[in-house]
Amino acid sequence: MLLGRPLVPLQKLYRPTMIKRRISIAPYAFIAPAFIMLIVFIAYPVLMNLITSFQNYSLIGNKRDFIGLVNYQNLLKDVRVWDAIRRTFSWTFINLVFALSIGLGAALLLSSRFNWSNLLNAFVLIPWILPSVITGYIFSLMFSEDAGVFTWILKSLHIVEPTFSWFRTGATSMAAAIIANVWRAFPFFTLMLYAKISSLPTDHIEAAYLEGATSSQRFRYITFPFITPVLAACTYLCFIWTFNAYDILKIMTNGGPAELTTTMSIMVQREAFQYFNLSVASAMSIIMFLLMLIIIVCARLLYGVIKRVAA
Amino acid sequence: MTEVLADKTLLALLLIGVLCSVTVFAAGTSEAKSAAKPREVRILLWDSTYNQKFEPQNIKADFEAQYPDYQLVIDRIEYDSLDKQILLAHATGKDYDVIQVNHSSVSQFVAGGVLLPLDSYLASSAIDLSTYAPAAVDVGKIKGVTYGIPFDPDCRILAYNRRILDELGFAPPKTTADMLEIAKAAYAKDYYAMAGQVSKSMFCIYDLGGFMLSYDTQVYKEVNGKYVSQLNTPEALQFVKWAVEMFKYMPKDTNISDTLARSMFAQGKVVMLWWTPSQINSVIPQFANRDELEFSEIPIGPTGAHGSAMGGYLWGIGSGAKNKDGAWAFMEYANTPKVQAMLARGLPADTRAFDYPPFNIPEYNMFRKQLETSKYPVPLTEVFPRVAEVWNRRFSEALLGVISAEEACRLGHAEVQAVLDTIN
Repeated sequence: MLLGRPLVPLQKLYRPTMIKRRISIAPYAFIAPAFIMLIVFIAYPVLMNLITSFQNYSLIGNKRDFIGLVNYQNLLKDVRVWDAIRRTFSWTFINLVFALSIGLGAALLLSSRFNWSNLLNAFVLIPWILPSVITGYIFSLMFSEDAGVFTWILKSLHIVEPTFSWFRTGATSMAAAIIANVWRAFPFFTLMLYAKISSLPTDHIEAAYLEGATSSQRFRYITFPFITPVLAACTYLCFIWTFNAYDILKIMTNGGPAELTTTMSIMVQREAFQYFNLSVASAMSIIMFLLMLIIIVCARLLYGVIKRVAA
Repeated sequence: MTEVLADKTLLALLLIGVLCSVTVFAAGTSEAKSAAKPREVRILLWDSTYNQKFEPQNIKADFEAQYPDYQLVIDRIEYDSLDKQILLAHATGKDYDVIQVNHSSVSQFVAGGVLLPLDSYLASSAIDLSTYAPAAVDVGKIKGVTYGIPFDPDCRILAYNRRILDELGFAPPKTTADMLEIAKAAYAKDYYAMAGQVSKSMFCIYDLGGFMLSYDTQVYKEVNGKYVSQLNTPEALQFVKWAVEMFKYMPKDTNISDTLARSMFAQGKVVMLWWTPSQINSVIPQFANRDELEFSEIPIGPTGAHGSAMGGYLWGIGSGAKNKDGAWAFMEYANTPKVQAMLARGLPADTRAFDYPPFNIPEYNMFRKQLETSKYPVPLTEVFPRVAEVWNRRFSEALLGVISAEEACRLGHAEVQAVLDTIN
């Protein structure tokens, strides 16, 4: 008895009611469409891809037996696959370094608010908006031996021999494709980093000015630490997109000459849609996924360590 | 209260009854209508065939007028996705009734059970294959069973720019050695000898590789029921050496598309080009001066061999086709000489079709002559595309000077044979 009223047993006070039960169902109902979509469009294909990689399934033929790790063993024994993996990493890291560096440089330039910077800000996204297939075709023409403007400039300035062709060797073909891909990719990073730099509190910069900090010191001790989280996110995105990139290389080099620009994604496409070996293509794509996963996990661990050391 | 409820129940039952009756009658009406409706014949076409031939020639309306029991339902697909679409349709049980099949895919599709054997239909049909190009007919047969009827084969001839040849002081080439002489002289005067896409896997089979037939050899042959690489033969080595020499006078870009190469030829930057029938419509209009363009048969090689690589398309019926009779009705319609002439983008398979437009003009005479001696560059097995990829890598390396011709043949032979052994 408290203040003259009888005590109500706790079980009665918190007895679940019909209304409470209905409310508890509602969140599940709300997320159900998204959940179903995830299962149908992400989980199911990934699972089927994994299962198919352990089979001998081809669109040409009626077999679909489990063969264990045979596809993986054959792929890992194939020197062409290792060459493609090596090329994929070269392609990815060179693209990553250039796209991020140029993206960061352009973001810093735009944030300095020079004349016409607003206009440039609007134009900088054009390469990103263009479909990558169009970019591939345009750059193929610009690098062509016969009528390409880049080649013509290099030849006119006697920087290269009159018989020079970008698409004659693997290294120069890859370089041409990288230039095209960087041109297409950097504006996204510019925009992301510019948005972050724009939100930098001005009092930090003003204090640095008062302390007599140089521009490189301001960048190193104020701007860079401030944009690091966005830079890290951009790095992950750039890594994933470039690692999986297919269209620009396909259009510009078709994996040639002599397979010297064939990356994993081109091999997967060929295996799946030229030879219709879906199981082998699935196994290749799983290998690609695992490689990407390993790199991303290592990068995250490294980033954590660097942050702790810096702190 | 109970009476009111009973009335409501009665009314509800009555309404349900009316609804069911209407549905049944409606279904009955639709069935009665569908009995009179023409049956659908689903057909899959390469979009170029549709855009350049099927649609302008009004084939659908013409067929439906002649066969009122059938209605054509046409699906179009781009070249790169044609095989994929055929295989996916088969894998999902939605086979097309009529399929346009690329010659290089027949073996693959037969191995995958995609195509229906046609011999029983042919036995009681008006289609007479005796007037067809024999090589084109043979490519539709696997182990003696017919799976495809050719309607659009092609072959290569040599096109050259007469003005440049006159400028260089050369007569049209008769041999592969003549071609090399012209190539050297042309390159010295800033013309390219020929042009093509090295990075395309079929480059080593049909384009520059097509001249291998003039050296009386192939990448592989069928010997005693087994497929054997021929890249270790002296003829193959001699051809590769010729190709390496010829490539010195060609553009160094390995990614030149066929369209760009043909455009360069039309602009007078290239002196010779392997020429397919479809280029008559696509490239000739690009020539500023049509008189500069002349044709010859593919030049002979050192042994006098005279080869031209064939390609092209066939009609097939899907093994799971829902309307096989309708499909065969279309095949009979499409294989009359007149309609075949209307449909072929390359050349008609039936020699009688050359008497009909557009093939009854002088531009096709050389093709008609060349077709008699043309052959498919290799036996078209199900591993043919992979052989092409493997060999093109070594062939390209030799052209680009990464490895020697001898090394390309040695490595190529081992790698091609390894691929062939998977089906031997």
